[in-house]
Amino acid sequence: MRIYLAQVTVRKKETVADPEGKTISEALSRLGYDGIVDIRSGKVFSLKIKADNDEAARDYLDEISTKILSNPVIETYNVEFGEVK
Amino acid sequence: MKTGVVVFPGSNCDRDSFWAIDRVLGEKAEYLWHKETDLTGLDLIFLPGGFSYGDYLRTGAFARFSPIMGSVIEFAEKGGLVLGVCNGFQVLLESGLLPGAMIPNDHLRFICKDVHIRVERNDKPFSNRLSDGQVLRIPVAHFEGNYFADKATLSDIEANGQVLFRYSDELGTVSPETNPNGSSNSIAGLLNKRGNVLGMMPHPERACEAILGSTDGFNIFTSVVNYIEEVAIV
Repeated sequence: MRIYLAQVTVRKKETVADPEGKTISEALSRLGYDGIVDIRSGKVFSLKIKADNDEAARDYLDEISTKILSNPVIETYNVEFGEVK
Repeated sequence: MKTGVVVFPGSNCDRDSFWAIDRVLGEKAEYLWHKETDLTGLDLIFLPGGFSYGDYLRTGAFARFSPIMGSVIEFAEKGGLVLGVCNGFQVLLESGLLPGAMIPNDHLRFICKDVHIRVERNDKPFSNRLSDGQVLRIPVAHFEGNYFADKATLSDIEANGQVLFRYSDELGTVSPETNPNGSSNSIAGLLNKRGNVLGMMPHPERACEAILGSTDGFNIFTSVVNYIEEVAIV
């Protein structure tokens, strides 16, 4: 069994409105940050998991990301992970 | 008619829902702790409003995995009536009993006020005592009531006649101005294809007594009684 550190990022799909991102973007513009083109808000989860190998770790992370951490109807996720040596 | 009002950790409209059914409507109701799995003898499962599991992660995300939800899904698949109000609607979406998802209100404010909703069809278990096109005044109280579904899903929903209530003005006119939260197609109440599962953001249990300002929610419940006692027996 190996130990992996993983980071799962969840954000709304491009086709889904993100009122939070829009509000942050508007607030920044009001404060004079006129270089903001777009902001999408999201969530980041840091995980430490046990798995036999890289492939098993990937499957495990995909499963929990699809089943719980994100709602595939409105969100997409991205997984990054690496073994703790 | 016998109703089971599901209580999740963080539900806070369970008492109001019980009161509306048991005391105002005068039909039997019982509380079902979310760890229950036996729904024998029940005609209606009521998923009440509130903040199940503190709304952590997403509204309804954890309630969907409560032990009782497996039984509720099975109950619905057999044709049993399921009503989800507010957080209950969010749980129905997360559990896949209804299509789409809920996102924060487009203006990012919590809204707590009376809204008008138009009855889109009165031939369903939840609406047979209402009139087609009737306008009801019922309160909403939510931050995440902005119903979202992609274009293909919305087309399906409309083609199947699954919209039971739409946000409107007091005359029944639906426009962007009468949409309180940005919901796709002004959807306030949504049925599954079969018509036995209803999710709605407005709280009919808070509009059953004149002293509370409106009795417009009452006939949603009398519709269910009518369906259970007469239609279902035939």
